[in-house]
Amino acid sequence: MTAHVIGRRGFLGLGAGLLAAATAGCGFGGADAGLRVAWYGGAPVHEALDAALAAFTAGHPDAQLAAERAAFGDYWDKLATQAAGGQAPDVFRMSMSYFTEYGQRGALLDLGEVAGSIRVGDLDPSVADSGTVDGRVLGIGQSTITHAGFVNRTQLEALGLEVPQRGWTWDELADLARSFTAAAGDGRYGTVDAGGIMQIFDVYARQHGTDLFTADGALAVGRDVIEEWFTFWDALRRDGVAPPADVTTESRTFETSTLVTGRAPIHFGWVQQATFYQPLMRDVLEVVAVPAGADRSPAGQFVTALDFWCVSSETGEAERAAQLIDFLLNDDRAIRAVGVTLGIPPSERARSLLGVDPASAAGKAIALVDAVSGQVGPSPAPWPRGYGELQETFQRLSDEIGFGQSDPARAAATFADEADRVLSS
Amino acid sequence: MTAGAVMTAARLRASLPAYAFLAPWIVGMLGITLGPMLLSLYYSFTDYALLGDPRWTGWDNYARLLTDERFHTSLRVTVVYVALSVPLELAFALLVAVVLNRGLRGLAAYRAIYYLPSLLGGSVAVAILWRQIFGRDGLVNDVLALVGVDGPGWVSSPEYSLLTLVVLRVWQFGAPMVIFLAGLRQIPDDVYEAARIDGAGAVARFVRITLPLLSPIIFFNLVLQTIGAFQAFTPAFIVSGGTGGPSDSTLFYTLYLYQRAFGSFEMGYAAALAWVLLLVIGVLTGLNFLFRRYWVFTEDEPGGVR
Repeated sequence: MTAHVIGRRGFLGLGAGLLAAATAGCGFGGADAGLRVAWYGGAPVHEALDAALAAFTAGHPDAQLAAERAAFGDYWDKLATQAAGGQAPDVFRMSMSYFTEYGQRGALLDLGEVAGSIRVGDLDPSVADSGTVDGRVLGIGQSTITHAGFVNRTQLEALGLEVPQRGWTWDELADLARSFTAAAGDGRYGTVDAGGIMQIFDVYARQHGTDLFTADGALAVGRDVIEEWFTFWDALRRDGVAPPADVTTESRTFETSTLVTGRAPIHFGWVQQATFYQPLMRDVLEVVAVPAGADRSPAGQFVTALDFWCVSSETGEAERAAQLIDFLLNDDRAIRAVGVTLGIPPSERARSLLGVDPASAAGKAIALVDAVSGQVGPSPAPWPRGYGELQETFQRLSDEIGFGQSDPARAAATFADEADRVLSS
Repeated sequence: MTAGAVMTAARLRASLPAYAFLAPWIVGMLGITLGPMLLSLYYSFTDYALLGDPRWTGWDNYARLLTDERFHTSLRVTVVYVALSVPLELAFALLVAVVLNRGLRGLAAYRAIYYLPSLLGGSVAVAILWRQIFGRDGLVNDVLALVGVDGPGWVSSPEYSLLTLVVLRVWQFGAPMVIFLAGLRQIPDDVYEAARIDGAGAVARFVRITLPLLSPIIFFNLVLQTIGAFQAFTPAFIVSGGTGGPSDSTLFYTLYLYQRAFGSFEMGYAAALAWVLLLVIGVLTGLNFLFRRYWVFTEDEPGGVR
C-alpha cells in the first residue's frame, strides 16, 4: 500500500516536473550568456569574426562573448523571432535591406546615447552617415560598397575585345556584348541579364534624375524610366546577346552565375563580390564602374554602408556592446582579422593597414571604391521598408518579360502599382 | 462538505495517476499546438509585424485575400500540384505494390529500396539534387541530347518547373506503396481463385476484386496524401531558391505564406493565410469523406458498395 502511494506520487512528480520544464522552456536563452553577438555570412566570415572576438576577449578578460552564426537566409527568420520574443542578441549584424524595418519598429538602440566610446572619425563620411535615421544613430557601418561591373578580361581579350574603362556607357555595353556574342558563338552570351537587378537599375534611375525612392519612402522613379530599362534588356535578350530567361533564373548564385560558368564575360553587382567571384574562376576578373549615361560620369552610383553593427534596444550591456563595436571598427587586430570578409573596409586607415595586393580581386575592388568615391552622387536615404519585397518583385517582373508573359510597359506599370501598395502599408 | 463533493474529490484522486501519465501529451497539446493555434487565429485579425505589438484590424486580412493576385496564383499552383501529384503518386504506388505482391524473391529488399525515396524525398539535399538533374545542363538534358533533343531548363522554365516538382512527389511513392502492400496481403486468395475458376482474366480480377477490396486503403492513402501535398514546402522552397519562381510558377501556398511572414513581416496576413489553408484542407477532407460511400467498400455493410 505504502509503496503504491509512493509510486503514484513519483508519477505525479514526474508529470509536474515535465510541466515545469516545459514552462521554463519558454524563458530559455540569454541571462547568463554574457554579450551575445550575432552575424550572418559564410565560413570565411565566421572564422574572421571569431578571431576578432577572440582578440577582444584577450584584451578584456572580464568580457564574456557568445557568438551566434547563421547563413544570410536563415539569419533573418531567427533574428525576427528572437526580437519578437524580447531575446534579440546584444550586438548583431544588420543589412541595409532590413535596417529601416528594425529601426522604425524600435528594435535598435540609439547609439548616440552611448556613442562616446564608438569612434567613427576614421570612417568614410558617407558610411558614417548612413546609419543615422531621423537624427538617431541606429547602426555603425561596417563596410563600404558601391555598384560595380565585373569583366572577364581573359575571355574578352581572347576574342580581341577590349576591357571597358570607367566611364563607359550603356550603349557601349550593348555594343561590346553584341560583338562578343557574334565572335564567341557556341552558347555564350555577351553579358549577364541584369534587367531584374533592382539595385543596378537604381544607378540607371539616378542617371535619369531620381533615386528609386524618396526620402520618406515613396516610389520616386518614373514608369517611363522603368519601361526604358526593361526594354533595353529585352532587346539584348531577344537578340541572344543576354541569356534567355531560363538560363538567367538558373544562374542566380555566385557558383552558377554566367560569369563563373564562363557563359558571359560581363556581370554586375556590389563591388566586394569581386572577392567572391574571382576564387571561383581561372580567368582574370576586372572590376569596373557600372555603365554611365551620355555624360560618362559615375554620379549615378553611390558609396554607402551595406551592413551595420547594431545594438538591441533591449540590451542590458549597452556600454560593453559599444566597446565591442568600437574595437571591431578601429583596433588593428580586428581590422586584420576581419580583412575584406565583411566587404571593403569602411575607412581609409583600415584599407591601407591591410595593404591589399592591387592585382588581387580585393585590391581591384578597393581601387574602384577609391576612384569613384569623390565623384559619386549623394547617398540615397536608408532603404524603405518593403525594399526587399520590391527587389523580388522587380526580378519576377523582369523574368516574366523574358518568358514572354509580359512586356516592358506592362511590367513597369505593375511595378509602380506594387511599389505604391508595398510602400504605403 | 456534501457527499457529492467527496465523491468528486475521491474520483479525481483516483484518476490523478492517469493525468500524470497524460501530462506530457497535455502540455504538448496545450503549449505547442492549441495555444499557438488560438494565438495565430487572433493574429489573423491583426496587423502584426513581429517586432511591434499586434494591432486589431478586424476582417482586413481576409478581405485582402480577395484582391491579392499572388495569393490566387499560389492557390492555383497548389491545387494543380495536388491534383496532378496525388493521383499519379497513388497509381504508381499501387502499380508497384501489385507487382511486388506477386511473390518475388527478396521482396523485403525491394520494399526497402522502393521505400527509400519516401525517407529522402522531402529533404533539402534531394531538392538540390533535383535542381541539378532537371537543370539546363542537367542529367535529363544530357540524356535527351543523346537522341538529339535540346531540352529547356526544366526547373527554370515556368511551363515545366511545377511538373518537375510533381515528378519529385511521385518518386516518393514508397509510403503509400507499403500501405498498399499490407492491404493487398489482406485480400484472401480464395476470392481470386473463385474468380479464376469462373474465367475472370487478370484485368477483370484487378478491377472487380483488387480495387473494391482495397478501396478502404486507397481512401486512407488519398486523404493522407492530399493533406500532405497541400502542405508541401521544402521542394518548392529549395528548387526555386525561396522565390517560388520562375515567375511564380512554383509558388506553393505554404511558400507564399512563408514569404509574407518572414520576408515582409506580415505575420497577421500570414496567419490569415494559414487559417484559410486549414479551411481548404478541412473542406476537401470533408468532401473526401462525403464521397467515400459512393466508392469505398466496407465489409460490414452487406452488399458492399451501396
